[in-house]
Amino acid sequence: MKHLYTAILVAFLLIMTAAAAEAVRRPAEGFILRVVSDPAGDGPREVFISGADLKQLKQTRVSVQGKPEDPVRTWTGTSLAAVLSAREVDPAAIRRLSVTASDGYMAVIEGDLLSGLGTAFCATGIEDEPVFPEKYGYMRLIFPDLPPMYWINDPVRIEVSLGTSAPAFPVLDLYFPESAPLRPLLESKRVIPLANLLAGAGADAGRFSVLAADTLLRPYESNTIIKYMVLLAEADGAYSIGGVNVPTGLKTKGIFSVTANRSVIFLKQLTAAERDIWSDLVWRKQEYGKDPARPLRLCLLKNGRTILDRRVSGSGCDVYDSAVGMIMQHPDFDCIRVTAE
Amino acid sequence: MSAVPQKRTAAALLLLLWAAAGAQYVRFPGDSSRFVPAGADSLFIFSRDLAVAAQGAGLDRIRYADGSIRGDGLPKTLYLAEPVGAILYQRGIALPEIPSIRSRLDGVESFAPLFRNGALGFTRYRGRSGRNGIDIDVWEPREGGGRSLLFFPDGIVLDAETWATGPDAPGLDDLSGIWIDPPEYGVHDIPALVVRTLSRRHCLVVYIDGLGWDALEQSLLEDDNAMPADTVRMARAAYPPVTRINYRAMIGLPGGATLFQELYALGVSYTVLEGETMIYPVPGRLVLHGERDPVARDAAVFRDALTAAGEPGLSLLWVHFHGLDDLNHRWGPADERTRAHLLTLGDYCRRLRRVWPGGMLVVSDHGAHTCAGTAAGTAGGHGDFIFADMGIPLISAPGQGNGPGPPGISPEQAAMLLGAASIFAAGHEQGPAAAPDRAALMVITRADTLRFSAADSALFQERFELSFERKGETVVYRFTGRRFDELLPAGDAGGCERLTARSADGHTAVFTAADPGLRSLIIRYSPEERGDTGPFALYPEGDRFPNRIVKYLTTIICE
Repeated sequence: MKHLYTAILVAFLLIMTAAAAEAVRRPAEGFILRVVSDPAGDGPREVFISGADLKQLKQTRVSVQGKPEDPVRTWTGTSLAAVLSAREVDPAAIRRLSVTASDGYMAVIEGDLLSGLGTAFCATGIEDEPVFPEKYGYMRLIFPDLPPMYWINDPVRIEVSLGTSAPAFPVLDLYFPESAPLRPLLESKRVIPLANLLAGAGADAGRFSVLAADTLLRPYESNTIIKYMVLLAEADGAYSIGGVNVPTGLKTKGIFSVTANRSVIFLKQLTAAERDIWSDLVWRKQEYGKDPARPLRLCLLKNGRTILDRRVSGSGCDVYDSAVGMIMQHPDFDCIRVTAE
Repeated sequence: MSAVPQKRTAAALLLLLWAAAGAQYVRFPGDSSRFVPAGADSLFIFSRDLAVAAQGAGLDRIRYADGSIRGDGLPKTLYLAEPVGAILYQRGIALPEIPSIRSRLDGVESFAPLFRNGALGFTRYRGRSGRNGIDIDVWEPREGGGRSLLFFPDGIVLDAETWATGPDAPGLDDLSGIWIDPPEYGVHDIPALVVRTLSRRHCLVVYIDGLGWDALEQSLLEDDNAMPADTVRMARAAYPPVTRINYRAMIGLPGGATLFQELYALGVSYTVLEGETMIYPVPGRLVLHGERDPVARDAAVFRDALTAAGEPGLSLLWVHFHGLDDLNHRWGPADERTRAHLLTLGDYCRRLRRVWPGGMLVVSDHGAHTCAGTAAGTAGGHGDFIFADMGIPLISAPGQGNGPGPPGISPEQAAMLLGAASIFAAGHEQGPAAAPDRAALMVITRADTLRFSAADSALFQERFELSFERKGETVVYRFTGRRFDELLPAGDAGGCERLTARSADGHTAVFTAADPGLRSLIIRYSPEERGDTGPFALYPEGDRFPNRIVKYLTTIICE
């Protein structure tokens, strides 16, 4: 029993120390740069870059307007490319960049948005303003060629993924509001913890994207805020992100679909317009969506068994319509799995 | 026979029955002699960085030797160096099912898939291979994720790795539930938070019995001000989520004594306001409230708390509201009457905060869930390994009352209470480690440390009128104070190249040598605290906007 008590005491102290560690976000003003290579490449490496380090690099300036109602400001600081080059990271090799702020706000730059990396700027001052506004922290990472929602105040962590490969999944699981794992969540609750939704769909909460009616496809990176994120039902059946401790800038509205790894979750029955948006912005970027002529197999699964299957080819709209047809035929199911013929 | 051997005997019996049913858990190297796979056709084995599941005939050839798993004619994938643990079982036999919470999602799973799918942190699937009729799946830990906690009865919580490697940790037969990706904080952290707060200032603990995370989230989503909540964290209760176990966890200290016993021994003044019963013996001042109606009882507790909060010299005020738990049971947590009472408790917290001069924590012991179709008076309950019962809030907010509020205990006493001074070095709470005294101003220069308090009010008699722009309008401040440079000894004033001003509630403003505002700072002093700026406040005369005004100013550091 003595060992047991020792183990419990050690665990007690470990737990308290771990809790203490959460409050310590970083050792000083600055951010952790994490560089992740392709699986075949080197392992991830991390380095802390302080605000003072940034000022050691070549100082330049950039004039840019944030929101339309904001004035044009001339920001002083250094380019992100210079910061990365100083750490032997080739900006051209980046296929994904995610930034986390001290308040949990996050932005993910990938796909078409990567074109905005070239002008990314680590702003530590504003010309004609003697004091850098406190709300920006020690540094504001601005992307002049991207909307201000991607600009990050007081970043604490920047992760860059290098290489050329994007994850390709051999199967894609489509979940609907009628799916058995999601039905209890979506049917009766007005407030749905996002982590629960992702777990219900068997998806890793590490990374996910939401798709909103205004054609916004927004990637999210999991951090401590994910525990607090909830989906709040809107009047038209769509959802918005909310939750205690969740920064306002993360509260996307009008969400009708969530994608995480190989799982696609439809939160409502899609309108024709929403279906088109999903087909264009999500399906066409999947492995199967690139070639509309490719024959696919849809399997309606229940407890891991195929109840119905159907062959289909065409656009994302065709796949969605076929899946909905299968659901009407057999409404008791878990998900519809898409595989190549 | 004592209770402990009986328990061990029962546990051993359960383990035997379970083993007979075809499942056995083995720790390496401690009980490696029990690693006898004969009869098992399924195996889950893991080291610190790899987990392997194997199914098929011929696994009885596998063995443990020289710190490694080996076997003649077996796939090399099974050859695991320095294994930590293994589970041996037979396919097709019903295995014990373990309640689980994954983030906030409840589940019940057999231990094999549960451990494979994250309970031990192995969440990154590397793939499947097969040879000689044996199928093998391999996982590795996902970076930055996959932490889990194992919950055992009587409030014991173990990190998965501590459990897997601990030679005498409880067995799987005692496991009550697994929380995968749990909140960082738990009810066990409350003693450390209270002690740390006491080492800096007075501490008010509002303990709302039965306040689950779901209920708090619901009320905060409907109204941001439903509860005073500067910092709200999701936390976890101990298992079983009942008052007796969790109350003990929130006042228990390493060594077995309770927080109250130790504070009493140190001569720290405190008052404990309870409901109708004393759950644990409290030496010192304890006040019980016998009203039968839960709402009326909480109202009586609140009235007494309001009175106690104004008593001079009180270091710790512990206020236990039990009414919400009673209503959870009577009407259910979703009932309007229950939710209305939660709003009332939120109002109580706000009013207590307004008068309390120190730190404030709002804590809970467990949540509650709705029980369908039960008799009157039992519409809600708690005690299960589900998020509704196990997920609780942990709230901290600085008090807004007047008064000096000195530390309740010294840092040395605090370290002694927890038996772990390093916890304090790590910084458990936000803010500077030094105790901020809201009624005093400390100025640290390269040469000296100066302190200003009400006794120095004669220094702050110059009249000022400053204007700032806020949202397009001009805001004018009129007050008495003193230019900061004039407070410093001759020679110090011009030597400051960077000035950091901090408030009692963590607000910080920085002025550098390149900043013209550094030479035009004004310290305001309010002889009677008006509730909006604190006794001392800093005003940067050269600024256009009021962003760098620091109210409740406690510290200035000149570098």
